[in-house]
Amino acid sequence: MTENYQSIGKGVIRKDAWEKAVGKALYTADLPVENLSYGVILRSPHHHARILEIDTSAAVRVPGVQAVITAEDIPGEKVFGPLIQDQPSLAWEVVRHLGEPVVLVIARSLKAAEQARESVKIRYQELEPVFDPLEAVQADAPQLHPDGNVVSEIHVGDGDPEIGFQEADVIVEKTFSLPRISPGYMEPEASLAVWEDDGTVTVWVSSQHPFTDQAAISAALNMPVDRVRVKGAVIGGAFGGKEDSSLAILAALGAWKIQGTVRLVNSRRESFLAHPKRHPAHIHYKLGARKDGTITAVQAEAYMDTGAYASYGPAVAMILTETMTGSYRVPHVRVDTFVVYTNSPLSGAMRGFGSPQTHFAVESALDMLAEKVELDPIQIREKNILHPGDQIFTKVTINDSALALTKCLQKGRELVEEFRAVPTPEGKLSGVGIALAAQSMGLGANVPDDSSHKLEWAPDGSVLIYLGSPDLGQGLAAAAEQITAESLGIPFDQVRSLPLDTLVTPNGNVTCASRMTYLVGNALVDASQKLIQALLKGAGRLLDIPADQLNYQNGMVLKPDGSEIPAVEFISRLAEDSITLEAESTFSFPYPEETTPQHLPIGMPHVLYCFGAQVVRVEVDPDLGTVEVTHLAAIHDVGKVINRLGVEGQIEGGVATGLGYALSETMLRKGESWVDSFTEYLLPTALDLPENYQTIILEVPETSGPYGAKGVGEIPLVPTAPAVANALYDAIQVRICDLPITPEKVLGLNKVS
Amino acid sequence: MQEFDYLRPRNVAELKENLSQPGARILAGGTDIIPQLRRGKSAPKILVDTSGIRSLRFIEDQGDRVVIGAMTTHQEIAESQLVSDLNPALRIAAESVGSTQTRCRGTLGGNIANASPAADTLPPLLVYEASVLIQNLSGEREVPLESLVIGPGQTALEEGEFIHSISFRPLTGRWGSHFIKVGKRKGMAISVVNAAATVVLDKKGSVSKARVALGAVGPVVIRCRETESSLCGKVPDRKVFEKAGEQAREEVRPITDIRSTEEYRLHAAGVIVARVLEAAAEQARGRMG
Ligand SMILES: Cc1cc2nc3c(=O)[nH]c(=O)nc-3n(C[C@H](O)[C@H](O)[C@H](O)COP(=O)(O)OP(=O)(O)OC[C@H]3O[C@@H](n4cnc5c(N)ncnc54)[C@H](O)[C@@H]3O)c2cc1C
Repeated sequence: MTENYQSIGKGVIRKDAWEKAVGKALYTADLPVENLSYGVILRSPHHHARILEIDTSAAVRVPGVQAVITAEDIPGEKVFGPLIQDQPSLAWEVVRHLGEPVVLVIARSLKAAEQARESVKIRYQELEPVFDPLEAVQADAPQLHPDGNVVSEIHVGDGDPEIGFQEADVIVEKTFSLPRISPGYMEPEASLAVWEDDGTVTVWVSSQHPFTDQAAISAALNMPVDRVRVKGAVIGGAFGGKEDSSLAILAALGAWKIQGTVRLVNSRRESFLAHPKRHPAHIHYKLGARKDGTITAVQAEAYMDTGAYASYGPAVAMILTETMTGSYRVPHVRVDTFVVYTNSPLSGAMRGFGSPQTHFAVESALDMLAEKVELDPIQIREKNILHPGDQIFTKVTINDSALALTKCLQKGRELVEEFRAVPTPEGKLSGVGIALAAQSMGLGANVPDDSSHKLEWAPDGSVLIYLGSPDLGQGLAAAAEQITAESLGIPFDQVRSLPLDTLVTPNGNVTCASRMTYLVGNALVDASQKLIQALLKGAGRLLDIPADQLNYQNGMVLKPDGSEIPAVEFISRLAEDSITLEAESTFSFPYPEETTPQHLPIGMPHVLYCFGAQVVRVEVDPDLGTVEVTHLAAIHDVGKVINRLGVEGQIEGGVATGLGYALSETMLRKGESWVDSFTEYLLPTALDLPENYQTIILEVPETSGPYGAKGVGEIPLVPTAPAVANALYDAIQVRICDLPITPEKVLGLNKVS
Repeated sequence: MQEFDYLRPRNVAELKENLSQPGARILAGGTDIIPQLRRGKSAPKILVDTSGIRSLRFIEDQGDRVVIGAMTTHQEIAESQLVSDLNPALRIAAESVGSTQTRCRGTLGGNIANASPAADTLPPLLVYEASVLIQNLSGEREVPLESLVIGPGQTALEEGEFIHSISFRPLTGRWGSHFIKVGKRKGMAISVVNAAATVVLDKKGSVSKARVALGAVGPVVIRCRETESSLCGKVPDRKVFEKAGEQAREEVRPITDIRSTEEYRLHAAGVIVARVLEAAAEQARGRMG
């Protein structure tokens, strides 16, 4: 393939950049509508309580109130959930976490709605809450659901760990604890629902999967799916936290109840309590190796806190489990993972999906091992990394893209040396650390993972993409436009993605799992070919030449005599005859026989992986315990760059998220409540990012990807925290096993005296 | 949010009138009070917006005193050559407040009146023994800053009173001042503990006067008087300052909260007291007598 691309690999400015920068972009909360009613939610003030009585009599009398809705009023399904339908849209009988929705109030004004909310009287009987998954699995723990507190468990292994640990000369064993992390997106959840005169409902969502919202609304309202139309407005970030339906169901319910227009917007506090967060987890990790550093065995046990409802917990557990050997060859493995209900706010999908938790354990343990066998962190990794064709303990065979690991380490070695040469200021101690990462792409074998998208060639020659999966702000639309432009040989500016609308857009499936450029790109490469065929067919008819004697190149139709006619001439002529040139294509995530296990030791193995490494230099103030990341290099294989600016943006943003995980973010319980504002939930600011930062992009082509591309959405945040912890150890020989790394922990002053 | 009336006086005379009404509260930069209103932690009947009063926004060298108007923003203080020359600790503190946006809105008067134990401009003002000019419809009074702030979120301001300006006497001779803050991140960090110090050296290079103040280690920002007096007459070196840090730990009562632990605060307080004194002494040594 020649590398003479017009669009692919360039750094294009996204078409939504300007309107977002100047504040003109319309998010769901901004959409102008007439006759708007306001919805507000009365949420549980308790972590765990029985609802004895809900008295709405005073609330309904508040002037301006149109509806006061409880679970009883829901005509259809009262519960929802992506994997297990266990989450009430409005709680009845019992509330299982602080902030759980109980009553929905709709009123003519926000003030009236808020006043009515205050007038609802609920009598609760408080129940004992449980917050730690290790406590929740005990027999005498408060039970949250009829089938007990364990939502799901995975037990998987390969070889015989007992033999593996016998073969080992050294063993590293530690328990790692991971905090509750919020995706911290700028736009809190919002939904706008309009009840139409024809008995249909149109709902705007800020969601990663509007088609799931459509199904959930249809189930809750007990009306056919085709009477529910869901539209995507501009989305202000999601990072996994907008995979679950929530407000969309309630907004639609409100609109149905009053036969009007209802908007719901979560406050920041509501958002913190309501949206799914990264699972807190305890991972007990045991690693055995020979004297020469060759790993012989891994045994791990993980307990994940999924909060009051399952959300994506069981699926997150899969990737958490599957990545338990990281980027390394391990002959004998045993992993036991438990997903546990607690009275904490929901955990679910979040960028990385289980892999950040595991990598903190794996990559920390590897450095501990290196020290014991007297190898340096690069050597221990070189000795154990996966190579193309290796089979991991899930029986998945790693494909040729594993070459990237070797390249990442080569580059990593150079950077470690470079960072070590940086002088350390007086009074500080410095250290350098590295971590590798493997992040799966795709939803997993046996999970339906089809993605459909449509192209239309407009009479003016521009091409419209009916993008079936929403752009969450990460730049999916631009990548789709570049791939389409390249495939059709037309300028990037001539291609435009349309906002999602379930009425006219095909189902592109949920935007997640580092697979959008890959899925959408593949579908659009194919749709472009189909579109060209449709053009040639139409042109053939107009020219009275068999279509197979015509050719197409760069916006031109080539006749057998060698002459060229601009495609737009045919497209506009065909439009006059009411013929629209369009083509739809579905791409299904491939699970090739050679790499996918036939007998599945695990429910839904992931077979395609992204790889990367990060090298970090820290300066530690040994008296204050403060840790500053001064240098960071992020080395990531992306297969092939589509939008250079987009790839860099994803990596830089991921690194920032990773640094937050490492050093400052945690949603602690705070008295009777939880940390629920950005005053106390500490995202890194621009000043907290390393002064010396570099992105190093590797391109090891993924043959199944569009133009060789694979994903980069999640992996940039995965190696960051362990790389920081390893650098800290290098600096002061203190090993932190529970994130975030705080000065208190560095000095051992985190206990209350 | 509770409903309230909104007034925007154009000058100090109007401000006095407006504030004399029951339930009136000042809205200066709004960086503290707006979040408090949103969270229902404050419910004034009338909000009096002082952002239009130019005469409360100044930094002046009045010979024996530096006077700063209550409506002066942190950004203005951070950029002021006068403050930088005469109270470097205050400049550093103002520069460390929040983000650029916070500094361009938040005011010195608001920082004081909000009376947070972690307020960053209080330690530098306390070590300069600043006083506050308070006015109301019937007159004015001047009080030491130290007696104005009486508890977390509590001041000795009476209904109808407002802070007009803050003033302090510049140090003379061989002096230095410095401020250090420990936060949980670099940008937009609320102090886990903060400290300011002034050191004046005599001709022989011994400490003739030292002032130390610590924040976020008790209900209010406090002066560490025993630490100060223990330094008198000492020849400053690292050992002396480390001992001063240990002494300062005896004078504070930090608590454990969401931001940090009692143990860590106590430890860090000692570390930064030693460092802030050392930096101030270093400055003093560099200054001609
Ligand atoms: C994002 C963010 C970051 C922050 N970071 C810091 C930080 O790093 N360090 C720090 O110290 N603070 C910080 N703050 C707090 C705040 O910015 C400061 O305390 C600021 O100085 C308050 O000033 P203001 O003008 O905004 O006060 P306002 O919010 O307008 O008022 C605060 C209180 O003071 C009263 N008041 C104001 N002016 C007067 C007056 N002249 N006379 C009498 N009463 C008056 C008001 O009635 C109110 O009760 C931060 C705030 C935010 C939002």
